[in-house]
Amino acid sequence: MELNIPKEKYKKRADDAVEKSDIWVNLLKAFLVGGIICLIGQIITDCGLAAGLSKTQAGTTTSILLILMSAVATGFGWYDNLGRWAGAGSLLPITGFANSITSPAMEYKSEGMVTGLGVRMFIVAGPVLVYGISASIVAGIITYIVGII
Amino acid sequence: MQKVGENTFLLSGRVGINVRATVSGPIEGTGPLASRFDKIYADEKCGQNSWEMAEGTLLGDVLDFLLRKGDFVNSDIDMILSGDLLNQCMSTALATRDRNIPTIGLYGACSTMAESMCLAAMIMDNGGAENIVCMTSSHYCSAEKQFRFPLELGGQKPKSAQSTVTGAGGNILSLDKGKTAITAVTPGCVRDPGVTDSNNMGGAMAPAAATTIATHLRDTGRQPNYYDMIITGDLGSLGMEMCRQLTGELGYDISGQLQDAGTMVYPQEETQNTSGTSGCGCSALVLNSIVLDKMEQGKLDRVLFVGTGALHSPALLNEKQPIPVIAHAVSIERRKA
Repeated sequence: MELNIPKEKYKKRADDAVEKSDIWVNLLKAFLVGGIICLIGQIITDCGLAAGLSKTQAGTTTSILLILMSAVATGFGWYDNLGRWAGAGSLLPITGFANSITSPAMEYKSEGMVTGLGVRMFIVAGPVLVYGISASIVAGIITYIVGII
Repeated sequence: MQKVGENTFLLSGRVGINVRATVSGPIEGTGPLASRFDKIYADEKCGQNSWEMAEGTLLGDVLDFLLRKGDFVNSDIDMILSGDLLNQCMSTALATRDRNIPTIGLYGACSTMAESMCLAAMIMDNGGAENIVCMTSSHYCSAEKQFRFPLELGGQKPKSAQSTVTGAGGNILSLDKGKTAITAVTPGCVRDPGVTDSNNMGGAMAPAAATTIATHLRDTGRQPNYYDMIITGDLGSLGMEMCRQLTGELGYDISGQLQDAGTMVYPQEETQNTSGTSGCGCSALVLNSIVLDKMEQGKLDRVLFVGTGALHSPALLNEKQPIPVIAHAVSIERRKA
């Protein structure tokens, strides 16, 4: 016995049965959480500047501290709860990147420091690095050529 | 054993469900079925160092309970039919190693409980084997690790997604024993309804469930009301509704009988933002606790147990292939006293 429904038609039917989430609520949550993370970053930068760091030093300090905070929050199992609520708000900032490296590291630690953690650590962040670095090389070459001309 | 219609095997009724066992994880242990489980782990790692070992422990515990409850020694068991979701059936290997019982590993995704019972019943019906263990397990954390993303990765899932149950369940089928018997089985065909969304397994599996149910009913000449309950496992709330509609389109209105194991395991507050639960352990927990409890108490006489599996492989999905799905039906009836 077979259902006589064409695949495309059934696929659409199954997709339509899924309750869509409210895009405006998602945007608002993402804006709030993403904004708060950026605000924390700005506060760290301003504190660094006030303490006499150069602009570059303050920026680097901010990145390091945000990554540290995200990694610790991931370790305590908080960041995924935040991510479930905030979506892109906690995914896009540098804290999301830190979470994407820390979480597989935790997951695969049981398979050993080299074969587990070492191999799998970039399972999520890997593509960001590959294409991020590739894009910056291309951008660098273009800038160099434009500079010569 | 006699083949009728397209895909159904009628059995003599000698193969009975002798003993059964269920072991669950912590969330399932706060759900509506908790009081019926044999053991509930408060710790997701079950005292082990990894998720894979934890799942193997759940399944090993089920095997221990089954042997103890039936007062069996290893040599009484002719065969174990067991499967799980993990690569190379890891938990089956862990749970059965050094048991000295012949073991056959199965893969049917979430349909494994039904798959193992189909096979065992057909093997036993003609005599020969007397006791066969059917069991399966799943673990939320090991399944997420293998099929999706690391646990602590912050991301969102749509409401159509189902959570994998942490738990294991099984039973021992014995000749001429037990209060319930397997009277017919309908092994299912692999279907490809074209769904590519791995967060909508219920929608993907519904056509497999619907065709298997309709095939079973047509082959046996039964109407849905022959059964007190048709229980699918595990379509979730979304998939169950689609299955109800599709079976209706095939000419059988099963609204009065249809229930789904995926809606019965988690406590209500955990299921609000999902379509329910899934995983091999889900239908194994439900069948071997509440469903067979009620049958043995005489509250249900005839149940059609339909195990549904999304044969989902991350590699195939990356290669843009739709999710193949399957469903097997096992007809269970209470023995007349």
